[in-house]
Amino acid sequence: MSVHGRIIVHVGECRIDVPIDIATGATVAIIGPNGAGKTTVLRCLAGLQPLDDGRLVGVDGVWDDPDAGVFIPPQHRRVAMMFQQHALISHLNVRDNVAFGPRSRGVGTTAADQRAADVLARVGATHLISRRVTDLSGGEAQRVALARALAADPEVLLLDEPLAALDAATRPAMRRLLAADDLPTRMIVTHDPIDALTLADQIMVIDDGVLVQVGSPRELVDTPRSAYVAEILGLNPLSGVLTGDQLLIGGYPLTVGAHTVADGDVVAVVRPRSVSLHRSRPEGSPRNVWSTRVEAIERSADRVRVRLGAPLPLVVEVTEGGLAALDVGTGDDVWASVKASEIAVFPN
Amino acid sequence: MTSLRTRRRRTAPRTPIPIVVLAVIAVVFFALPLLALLQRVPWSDVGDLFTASAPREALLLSLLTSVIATTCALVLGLPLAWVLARTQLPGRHVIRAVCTLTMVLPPVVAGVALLAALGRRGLIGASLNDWFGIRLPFTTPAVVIAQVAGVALLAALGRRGLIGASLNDWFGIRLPFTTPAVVIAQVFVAMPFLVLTVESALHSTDRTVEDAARTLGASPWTVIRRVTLPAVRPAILSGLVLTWARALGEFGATVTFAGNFPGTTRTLPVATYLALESDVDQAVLMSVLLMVVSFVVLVSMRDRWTGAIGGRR
Repeated sequence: MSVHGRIIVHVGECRIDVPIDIATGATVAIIGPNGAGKTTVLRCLAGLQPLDDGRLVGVDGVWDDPDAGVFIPPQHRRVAMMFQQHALISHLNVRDNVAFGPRSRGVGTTAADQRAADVLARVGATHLISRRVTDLSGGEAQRVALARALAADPEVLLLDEPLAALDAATRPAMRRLLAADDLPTRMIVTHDPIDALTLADQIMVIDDGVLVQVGSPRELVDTPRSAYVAEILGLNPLSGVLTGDQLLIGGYPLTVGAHTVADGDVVAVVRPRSVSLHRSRPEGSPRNVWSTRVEAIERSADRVRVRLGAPLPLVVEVTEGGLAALDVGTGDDVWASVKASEIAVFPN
Repeated sequence: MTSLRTRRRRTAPRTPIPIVVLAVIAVVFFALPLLALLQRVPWSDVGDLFTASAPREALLLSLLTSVIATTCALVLGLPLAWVLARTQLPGRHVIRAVCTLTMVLPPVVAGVALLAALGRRGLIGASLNDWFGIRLPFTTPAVVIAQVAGVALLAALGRRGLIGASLNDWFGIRLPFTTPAVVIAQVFVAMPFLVLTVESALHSTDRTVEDAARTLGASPWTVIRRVTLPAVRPAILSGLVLTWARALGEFGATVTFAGNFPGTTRTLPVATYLALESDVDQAVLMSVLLMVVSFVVLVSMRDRWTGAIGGRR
């Protein structure tokens, strides 16, 4: 029981060719840069964009097979799509928006309203039930949009950048909703590696219409197949030259842990959370310790990313509390350290 | 210091004077002929006029035909607007041009009002005539534009016309110079207002809302009925009001195609035009009648119907 097949479509001059294999109950994140074809993949799954070639099989049979002339339209697919800009129906109030799915599938008014009330309660939006859609804030509208998608009782829930339109204050609540265990199979399009790594059990990395790598967050973080994958996941890929356990990056030496990579040109990946920052030179064992400068401090969602300058251009992830304890700002000098075992190397 | 502070506190920038002056001229341009019309009304005879049967007959005919014409325009115009806005039909730009050509026809009330203002004895016209010898009304271009639609319909549906000949031979149906002919003439010139208004609204609706509805299980018909049409409802209503107003004021096509028979084809604009020859006071009164009816509809209904309407289903 799964959605599987291969999506081949042409959008403008871009050709998209992506294999699909979604296990029932899984949460799959599609990550990639703008214009990579992420949203198109969702639209093909929803039936809003017919395939040019390939074949899609859904939980209840073939959805789309251009060669066989089969195309199941969106309303018969039991797939609900949630759009980046919520796409609520502005002349209906919240209850009627959420009841729209059941009503469209022939459920009576009373039962559909009851279903709407139940689902709104589940996403914590009961108080919005009689509100006009145009009076909702961005966070409220997205919550209602999620309720509306769930009320349609879909086998697969397609979420296009569900967190992008939200501000930092409303994002954690929505992230918690999307991570709930009782949701149907989910496919989440995002450009934010943190969302992909925290929400999904499978991540598909797409670039230029092609699937670059697919795997669990653990697999992708531990063994990104290319520097591109490492970069899109925010993992600090660095090009260098390896000799035994010594890695030379732009003339700066690092010691790496056990590995099986041959000497020569390599890509090293340093995970943002494996780098420690200190006010003064740290005591103790870490072999890789260097002095550097804070170039920038960025806040994304509930995490803080500190960008370091020469000699190693790394992004370090710390907690808000950790940063406060460190008491440094942009332009300040800091000491950085990373354990040898935290540096992964891949042949380049 | 004080003047600086007040200047800084001004929130909206001052409207440039040339814009104000030209806008005022535009308003005067519209208002003056209408006021001139009101100024000419023989108020003492108003009672007599409404007891006479001819104007009442013409008004009822006008209301009847314009409402039927508006309904026809809705039934045919909505699908046309849909095709123009939502399909990739080749040549739809040409189709749009053909279907909206009749929009250029001027309503007759504006003509009478302009006559009251610019005619030889009009408010300004008298002065223009006296001082400069300029006479605006009754020039050839005005007539040509007004009658193109009527002649075209006659050629198509007249007894010897393209379709009319067959209709006559096979069914004994003669359209010209009947009340249906009045309706046809009105639909012909008024429907473009509905088509263009709705088409432009269909272009600007958010398609992702329709996509969302489809993934929620709505059939294409349900999407149209519950999502798209409600979204363009304000445009449909204002298009209907414009269409109706244009149909009510229709003259050129009506008089050419439908003629001028009391009770069957003599609409209020036609009756107004005829009265101008015999009884100017009556013409002025009927013009004011048309003007008031149109004005009331434009002001009240348009605001009420196009305003935000909430509520359930």
